[in-house]
Amino acid sequence: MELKKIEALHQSCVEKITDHDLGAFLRICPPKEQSKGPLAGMSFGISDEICTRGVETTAGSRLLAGFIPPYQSTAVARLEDAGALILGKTNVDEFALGDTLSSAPQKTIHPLHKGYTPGGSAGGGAVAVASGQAQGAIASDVGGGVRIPSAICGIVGFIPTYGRISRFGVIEHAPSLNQVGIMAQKVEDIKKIYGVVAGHDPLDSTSLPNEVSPPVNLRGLRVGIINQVEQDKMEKAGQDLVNLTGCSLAQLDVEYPTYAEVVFHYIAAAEASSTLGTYDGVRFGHRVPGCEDIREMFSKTRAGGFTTYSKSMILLGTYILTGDRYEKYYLKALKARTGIIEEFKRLWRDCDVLITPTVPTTKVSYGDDVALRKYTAACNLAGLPAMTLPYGKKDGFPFGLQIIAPQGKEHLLLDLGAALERSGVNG
Amino acid sequence: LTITAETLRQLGEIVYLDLTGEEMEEILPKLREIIGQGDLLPQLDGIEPTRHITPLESVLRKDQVGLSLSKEAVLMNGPEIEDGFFLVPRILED
Repeated sequence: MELKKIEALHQSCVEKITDHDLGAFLRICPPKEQSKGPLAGMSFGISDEICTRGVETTAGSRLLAGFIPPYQSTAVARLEDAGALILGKTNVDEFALGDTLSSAPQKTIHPLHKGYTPGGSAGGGAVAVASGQAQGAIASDVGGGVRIPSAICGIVGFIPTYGRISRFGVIEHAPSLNQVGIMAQKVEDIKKIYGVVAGHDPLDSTSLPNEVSPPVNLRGLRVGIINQVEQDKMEKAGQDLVNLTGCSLAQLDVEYPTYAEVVFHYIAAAEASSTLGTYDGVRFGHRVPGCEDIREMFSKTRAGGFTTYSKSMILLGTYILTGDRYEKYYLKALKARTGIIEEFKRLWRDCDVLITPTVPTTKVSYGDDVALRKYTAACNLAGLPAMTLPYGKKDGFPFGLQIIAPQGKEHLLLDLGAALERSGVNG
Repeated sequence: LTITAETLRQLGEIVYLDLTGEEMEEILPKLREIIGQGDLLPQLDGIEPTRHITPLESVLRKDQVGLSLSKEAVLMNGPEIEDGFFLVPRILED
């Protein structure tokens, strides 16, 4: 596309962003020449924990104010190579740690219900897509960071198997849990974007080798439903899938939702206590001036930079890694993580995909202390692909239907989701 | 057994976070609640802990010279730079 046309497209997108005034974007990227490719002309928001060469990237933290990455994250490089128009950096909880945007640098407003949070951590990206400011967004999903705000805002949010999308250039707090995810209004768009950003990356040591997905026969699919969870909604979703695809249903007893979020908290906090040690005011970002010695500089810089929420996670992680608490909390959580992986392996004997609600509630006010990762965190703990789809409403708010598949079977989610979307069936 | 204000203050020192009294009051009950939820974890004996989900082992790049960031690019984000070095306050005691 010619630079003139790109500038015009960019300008119209920026006008949309200004008109909406929902606080989805933290800053706008300058327009630049685009490649021809499958995403040509498609506009994107990039969550602020994903590095964009030459454009300030703060991971939503004061500690990285003014940080200009000298390199490009692989995911953004692949989007640009495919012709995507990168519009700007979207709002996110500090270091993608939260789930309600309460630790984000600015307030982002729910596009449908002004007084409520769009959820986090990647609430900026979800609002950008839901309100039509961008056609796609990418962000970190550590315990639900992509799926939670997508469900709350009524859009599609997808994460592939851990290692399918490169994490190179992603500023993160819990590397063993982070799966880069995609947000869009339609599953077909997710498919197109995923086809571009996925694939082996030698710059990420956890990147999986490329694999070709086998064709999917939805007719023979077995869909699992958890007993006693949002029974009416889930049974209707299951029946809709049966009617649409001819798949079969399996009612299953599942234990992990009762403790997965605790396991997630302990492991994420332990990893954060290590990874967030990097932010000390020496090599980049914010530094408190005028300190007498290095200890004072570290303490004042970090204390003034991190939000209270991030501090609490660092302190929790340090607490459970110290002394005999290591065994009592951290090691126990790591074993419980194995337990969750084993439980999923047992579930896959009885079903090919599992459907659950994405979040226990979508009606969340700013400042509410709610546990939103009950159904999402287990996927990160087990490295599974998952997708949330808008499926009707609950209490007047969008209801997100989550579909989970075994590792390497993201094509099942994409095909099943596309079938549901094409049918127009809505819970 | 639960976390005390004194333990929290000591942890703050370990991780270089000076906590204000207000922060202590906000953080302490939240940590107590999360730590209390440890009782929900199942007691799984004879099971290996999972630290990482990837099946990959010892991924090493080829030992060959390649392009890297220039010194200028590495230093460009430093809050204080002098003669090609990151400048920091005094490290050694008198």
